[in-house]
Amino acid sequence: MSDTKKILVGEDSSIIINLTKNVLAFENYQMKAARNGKQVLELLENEEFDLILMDISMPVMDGVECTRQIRALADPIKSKLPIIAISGNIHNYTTEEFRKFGFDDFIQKPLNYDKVLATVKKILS
Amino acid sequence: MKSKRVLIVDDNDLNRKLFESLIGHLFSYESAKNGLEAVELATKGRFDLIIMDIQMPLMDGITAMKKIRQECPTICPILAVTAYAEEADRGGFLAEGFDNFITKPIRPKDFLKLIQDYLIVKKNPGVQDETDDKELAVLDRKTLDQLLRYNSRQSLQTIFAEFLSECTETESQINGYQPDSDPSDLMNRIHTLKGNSGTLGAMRIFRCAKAAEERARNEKYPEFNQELKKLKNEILQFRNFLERELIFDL
Repeated sequence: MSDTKKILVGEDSSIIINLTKNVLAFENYQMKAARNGKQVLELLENEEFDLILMDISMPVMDGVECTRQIRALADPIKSKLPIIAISGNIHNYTTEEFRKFGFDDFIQKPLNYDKVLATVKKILS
Repeated sequence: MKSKRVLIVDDNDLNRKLFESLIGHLFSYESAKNGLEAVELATKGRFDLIIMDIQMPLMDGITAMKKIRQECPTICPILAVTAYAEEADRGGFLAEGFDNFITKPIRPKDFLKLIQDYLIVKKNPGVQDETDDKELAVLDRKTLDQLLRYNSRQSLQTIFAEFLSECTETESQINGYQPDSDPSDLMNRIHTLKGNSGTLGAMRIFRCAKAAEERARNEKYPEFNQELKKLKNEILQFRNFLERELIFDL
């Protein structure tokens, strides 16, 4: 492994945050968590990340709005970061719709962590 | 359970004896001192589980595991036994084709629990079937096994304890909910509970939370209230189950 990849997770459930942290540590990824879209933007402003896992239903600012704002950032690297939606998908969006919102991929909740890890690895490799 | 056969493969006499004494109480076993012996035994006999050390003379555990997978008629789970120092390579072992791994030095209780999980799951595979609604497991084994591959027992224990307190909060929120009050707070809570329960394998809670959420979204409030009652009941069942089954020795 060369340099450690850093992953930002936007998710309001601490259970999912803790599980995801263990799973990502398994492949030596570093992870930071934000509890809502606003915190995601704040962390992103001050730090570099390689990928974002983003819940859709979050308080203060949801994942769709947060992704829209990231895509509109002036920074050419940050605005193009891979963003994977992780969602129970109550609005029943199609993968195509998630793409239109600016997400690179979508993983349905309940999370299957084999799939989470495989998707992250595929994008970061 | 003596009908279940375990193949123990380890070149270290002390380790092998320890595995034999732990496993021997519950299951029958055969032992091998290196990969070559293991392949030979596995091609001749039928096993329900193989426990394989990695570093061994003559033939290492990874090579032996691959040979067994290729050459043997019966396919059973093969678990790697790895030293703590090799822990960074854990993902590698799974990628090579092991079903799971056991870290040395082993903790006897955890070790036996894992062995039993594998041997007892096989006995009753129908219970895991997600499509069979009536047979939904209170706690889905496959999900639990998957989580145990990535999380230590200790950290899963903490996470399940947190889930239980989230359940308790949901219960009290349901109790305080009046049919004419605004359901949006309760719906948010149920939405979170839905995602968490499903991810942790608490499939019956998941099913109820999902149904409740759908009812509320469609503004079918009498049905929503029915689902809330069911949800409370499933939470109760789940809590009892965790206490009874001692999954994490809580």
